[in-house]
Amino acid sequence: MKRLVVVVLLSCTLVLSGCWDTREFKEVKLGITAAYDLTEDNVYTNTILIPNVQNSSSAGPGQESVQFLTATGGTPQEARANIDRRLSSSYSPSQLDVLLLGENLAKKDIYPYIDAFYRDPRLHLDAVLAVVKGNAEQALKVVPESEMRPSEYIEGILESNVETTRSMEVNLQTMGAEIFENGQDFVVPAMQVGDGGKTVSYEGLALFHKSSYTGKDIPFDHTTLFLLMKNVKGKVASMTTKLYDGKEPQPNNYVSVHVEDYTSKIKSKPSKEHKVRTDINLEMTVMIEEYPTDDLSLSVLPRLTKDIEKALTKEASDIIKTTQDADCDVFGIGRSIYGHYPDYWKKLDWDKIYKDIEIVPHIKVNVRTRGIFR
Amino acid sequence: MNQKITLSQFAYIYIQSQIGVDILNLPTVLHKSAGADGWITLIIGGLISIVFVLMITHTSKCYPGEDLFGILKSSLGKKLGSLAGFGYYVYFLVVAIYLLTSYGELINQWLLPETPVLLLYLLLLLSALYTISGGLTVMAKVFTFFALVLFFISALFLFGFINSKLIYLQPMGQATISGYLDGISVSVYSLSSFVLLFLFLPFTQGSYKQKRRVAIGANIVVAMFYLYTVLISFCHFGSEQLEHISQPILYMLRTADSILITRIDIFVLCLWTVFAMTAFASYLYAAEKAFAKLPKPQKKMINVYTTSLIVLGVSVWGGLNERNLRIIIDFQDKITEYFTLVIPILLFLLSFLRRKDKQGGAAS
Repeated sequence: MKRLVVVVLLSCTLVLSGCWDTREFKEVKLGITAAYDLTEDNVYTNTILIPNVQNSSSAGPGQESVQFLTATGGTPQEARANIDRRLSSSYSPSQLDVLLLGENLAKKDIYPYIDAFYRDPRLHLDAVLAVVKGNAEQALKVVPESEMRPSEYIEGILESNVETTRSMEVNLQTMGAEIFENGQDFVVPAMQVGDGGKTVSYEGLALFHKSSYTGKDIPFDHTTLFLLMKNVKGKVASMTTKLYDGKEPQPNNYVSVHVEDYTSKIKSKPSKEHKVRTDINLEMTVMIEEYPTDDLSLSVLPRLTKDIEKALTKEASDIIKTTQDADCDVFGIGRSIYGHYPDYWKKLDWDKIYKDIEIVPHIKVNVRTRGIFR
Repeated sequence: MNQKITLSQFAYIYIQSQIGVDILNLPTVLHKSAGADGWITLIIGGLISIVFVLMITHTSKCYPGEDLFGILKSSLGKKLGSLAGFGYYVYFLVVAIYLLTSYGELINQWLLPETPVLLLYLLLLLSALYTISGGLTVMAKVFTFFALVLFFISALFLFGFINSKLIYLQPMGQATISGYLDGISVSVYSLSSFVLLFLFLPFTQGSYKQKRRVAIGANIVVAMFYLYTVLISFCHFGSEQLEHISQPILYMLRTADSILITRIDIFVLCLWTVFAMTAFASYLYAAEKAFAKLPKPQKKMINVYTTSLIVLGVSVWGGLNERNLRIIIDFQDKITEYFTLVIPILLFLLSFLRRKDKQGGAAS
């Protein structure tokens, strides 16, 4: 009896070693970056970048060659099948790192195009999103010669901007809850092809409402302040602000600060005049990084701090105005009102009134040090 | 069955038989019935399940040394007791079948779409059979060992806190009364393995006071673990998205990236099969015990094989399409109420009558 059991169990290991579901690496082509576009006449095209790393015959990492394939189709899945027809091995987007959305497509509802990522358990939800102003395919095909690994060019741009608090990581999963939930919207990094098609640059954060791009962005020079208000900080954060007008030479109008520490609190409550009043309290501890005027004695400091606070508050108001114009509730004010005042929320038509609610930024700056040169 | 299990083994065997398939889909099910208040109903359900644990330990105390079927016979009479015993046999079988089919479907959807489901069933069945073949003491030791997985898996769930927002728990108190009742019954059923206490209690060392304490403690551990998973998934997904996701606990780990493991969701799924196996093994064990108590006692291994063949056969039928699966689940829902709530309450009440009889008998 015992021997029989052992025999059965042993034979199990022979039979049941997962033969059915093996998917060998050599049999698939992994797409690392994909670009989704809508052409002028509303035809969906999918372009993918497939890196080819097999030709490293000599020692050391070989120069990576990349292959671009473009296909059209009714849905991403169909376009995938059309791409597959031209490949010797089958194409798999399961290791997709970056998903670029063309401006035209982003302005429509993006959800139908990303649905497959949520549905298929083999696909990774880790793919980072970016909106490309103009044509996404064009941005994907930019391959600077200086890059060792062209397939990582765009991902690298996005990642380094997250580190310096100029952008935030937006992948399919972080976006998921925000697409579905009422009363909150999200931002996606925006990019643009520059230098006559030789480089791609990060341009700021594209504001989304529900699941479509509103066409408005937080411009690049305001992103850091915006992200700090939203309580997101990368490894480092620094800002350059214009303090004064008309000083000569030109750089003397500016100051650069390095944010060492910060707290951000967003509080919303119902109010009479504007339906809702939101206070954004941002407190920062900063180091003066650059002060071209070159006269930074202790006695100047209180005035300078005041001026910085004033300038930043103005910037913050601009940012808030942009989001309200775009109808993009990126601070999740609606969700917070729903969370704390559910009965009041039911009386509001949020999409209509969001433009007119009162959002007040309060920015406090505390200068910790002036640097080693005084 | 001369040997008894220790108190700590008793705790682990109880915890492991509670945590089964439910842990993966509980957040969604709760959210569907009670909305964002699902976690509150879970707490209430947990408290109610403790009441049942108390009742069961009390009943068991009144009939020392007798397991569920003995108690049924001595309190309901021989005929009715045997009938109820057979009822429990069916119930345990159905739960085992439910566990097996849900496990098969999950693994098929998430991990091994090409592998025939029959093989997945066989794998789980074989390991469960091997576990219970040594009797309760061996089972207890194996379960105690597997408790390690519980701590490990809870730590991995922490990845879900990345990108989570506390605001998703608000607003509270929005569910209707019927929603609350729904949520409470869902949570009580998710903890319904307390019926198995009838089978474990008589074979545990220690006084009834100690046993009661351990059983309540174990029950609280399970309820807290459920609460932990529910809170994480509520905070991670928010209301609207959660409705679309049937296994939120796995889903939220899809982006969690670590240096060692790229797809933590699949890793957790593999660890979870341990829970699927232990819960399945407990019910298989219970069904086998029940089968042995049917008239005309058989040899032990024959009991085991008959039981597992029935389970396997029905599971294969259930795995054919979603409609068959639905029939099994509906049937289980229908009978669960009687076997986990009504009969334990009845036995509890009857145990008072019996005590009076006994006292009366002693006096005369």
